[in-house]
Amino acid sequence: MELWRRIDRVWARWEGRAIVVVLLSMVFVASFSAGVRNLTRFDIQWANHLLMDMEWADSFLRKGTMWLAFLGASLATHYRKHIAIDLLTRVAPLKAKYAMHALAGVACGVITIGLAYAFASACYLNLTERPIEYEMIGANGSMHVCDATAEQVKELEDFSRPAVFCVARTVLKAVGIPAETPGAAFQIIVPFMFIAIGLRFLMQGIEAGVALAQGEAAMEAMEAEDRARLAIVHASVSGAPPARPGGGADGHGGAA
Amino acid sequence: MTIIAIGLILLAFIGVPLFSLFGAAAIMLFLSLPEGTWSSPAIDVFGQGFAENPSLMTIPLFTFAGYLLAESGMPRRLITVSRAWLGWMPGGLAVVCLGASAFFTTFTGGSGITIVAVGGLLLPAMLQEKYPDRFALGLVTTGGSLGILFPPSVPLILYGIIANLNMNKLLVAGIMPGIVVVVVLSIYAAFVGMKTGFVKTPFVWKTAWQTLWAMKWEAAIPVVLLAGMGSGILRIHEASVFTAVYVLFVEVVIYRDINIKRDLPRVATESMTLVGAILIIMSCAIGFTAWMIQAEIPQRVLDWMQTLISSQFIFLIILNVFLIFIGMIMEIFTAIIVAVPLVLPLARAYGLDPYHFAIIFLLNLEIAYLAPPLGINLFISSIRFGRPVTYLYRSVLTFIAVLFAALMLVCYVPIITTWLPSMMKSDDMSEDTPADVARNDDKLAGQDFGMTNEDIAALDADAGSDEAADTLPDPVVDAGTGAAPAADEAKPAAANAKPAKAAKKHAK
Repeated sequence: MELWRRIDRVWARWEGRAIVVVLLSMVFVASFSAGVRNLTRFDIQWANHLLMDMEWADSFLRKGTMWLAFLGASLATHYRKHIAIDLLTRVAPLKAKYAMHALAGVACGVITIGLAYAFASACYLNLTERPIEYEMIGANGSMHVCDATAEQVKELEDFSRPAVFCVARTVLKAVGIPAETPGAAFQIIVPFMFIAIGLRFLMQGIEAGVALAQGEAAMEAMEAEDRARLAIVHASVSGAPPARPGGGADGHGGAA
Repeated sequence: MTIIAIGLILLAFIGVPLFSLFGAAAIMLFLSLPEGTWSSPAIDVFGQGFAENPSLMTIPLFTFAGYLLAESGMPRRLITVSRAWLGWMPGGLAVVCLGASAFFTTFTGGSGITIVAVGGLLLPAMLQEKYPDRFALGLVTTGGSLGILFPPSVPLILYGIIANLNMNKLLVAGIMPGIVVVVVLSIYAAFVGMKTGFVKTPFVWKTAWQTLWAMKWEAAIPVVLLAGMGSGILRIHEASVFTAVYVLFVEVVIYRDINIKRDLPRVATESMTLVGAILIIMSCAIGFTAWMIQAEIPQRVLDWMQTLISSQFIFLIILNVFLIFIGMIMEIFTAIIVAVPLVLPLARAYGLDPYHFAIIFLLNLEIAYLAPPLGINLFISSIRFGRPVTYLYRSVLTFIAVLFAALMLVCYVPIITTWLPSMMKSDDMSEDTPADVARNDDKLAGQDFGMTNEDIAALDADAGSDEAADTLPDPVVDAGTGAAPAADEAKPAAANAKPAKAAKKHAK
């Protein structure tokens, strides 16, 4: 169990770093793109060209939002800040409360793994569908632009290969993930984070079950540990009060 | 089906997070359909309803800005300014609390931070000035959700995304009703203040200007946002970027309240934890609402309602009771995600303006925050101020009555809401709604995926008018009526188009 906790902490730290990078990149790209867009109102030539070169920005921002959503959701699992209606756990005695935590954790873990499968299926459909703009006809029929030789690409007028995507595609292909389009490649985060969330819930459920089996002292210790950890999180938001395990300070498991 | 529903409800009551319950319901319901697959509830999440929705990015950016403000010295500055400008009024400090809470909640989205940040500073001061304990507690608890009608509050934006309304119009629609709510509460506060012999802070121009000058950078945010969006310079997502960058600059460089190394990463992760908790529910609920639409649940509810109620007046009363109940058992973001697709068709059928209905919806949730026995603000106040929840029940009753009076005013005098949006020209509607984008994409592809003939006819009839966005089908309705077929149809369409396009790329 201690090993899992350590892995969970390290994983959460990396998720936090990823969030900071994605969020700040989004802020930078969005502000730069908005600035350039507003300059085009004055018919400034270089701004017009720059805006055309930044067609990817909108797509990046949408994908970034999706990444933030699921990285944040995974981190919310670590901090036990998911939104839930915890009416019974709020009033239940300690033993019943931990029995409910155990059941809720395991149930949510299993459901979330199911969700990971559902989202992986949808993601696979999107990944395997080759968009027209990435298709070309070679000597042996239709092929992906990333599979074309430099000579074949050179023969196409006004066309350049999406180099970064082609590298990512090769890497993904090596681990058995087909990626025909960059848009769909970004979606892989969703099933991946659902797996992380599901595992976290499963382990939280098992932890609660173990504490229940060990008796009152173990449950009290776990309560204190959770309070201390959440106090650190909440104290940073202008001295907000600590939340209960399995729920937030707001009584709905929501993040206050 | 009934056993599954009961099982999920039981799981909800023992604290299973809502996102997984919606996800489980969506998977099971889709698998029960003959054409349903595991991927059915997830397909729409990668489309216009979620991942490709251009307005969605405003939620993390506004939330980030709100958390930065909450973490900075802004609450203290805000109270100083409010006191200098509003402290002379009857009910002085109580009115200050209302004004400061409304301003603060606008940026923090009613997530409870206001009670902790503003209430935590003002409650001791109010008790010191001999305000009745119950009144002061009720006031700071009410303040926790007071600003959600003002732009750019996150619940307002989330509603706009789910209901597929024109965002600029919706943001403007909330201003007048928001003012009505604050004014009605201020009148009550003034009445209590006069009765209890409040301590008056004399109005001194010099002090007032000095305090405002000290807060000028933060006070400018709503002014610049409204001016930018009203003039069309800022689209909604640009407004969110502007707010995030501006607040970051002001708090890091000018006020230096936020340390870029120590505080920024923490604030970013904390704010995105909240965003993640909201958006994962949205992503899982999309599949659930898609099934609801496919199973024609809203239509059945509508048919049933119409056999019982024919008057808009009665409908509004029932709607208010329903929404307060929903808002009480669910948290605001979940209530919006789940209830909007269900009740929006009803509101349309009873002839309610979509913006008017949006504000009624949100105002009800604002009241639900306080409604005993489960209102979310009651528990936050109880924990923060160390009072029993039952004591808080009695503290907020009068405030609920006052808010209900404001709700009746907003409900039955629609011009309060519709006046400002109606002043906006169609040129001001610079925001491309997801439906606009979908329509353009579909037309470009020569297909009208996911839309019925009636929808297309309605779109064509309304093309070019500023009402187009209002009459479009919801993204969730699209998803429900045609999402799965759309995905299936897209493939042959693309396959047909490929030879022509591929011919251009034919390598010699």
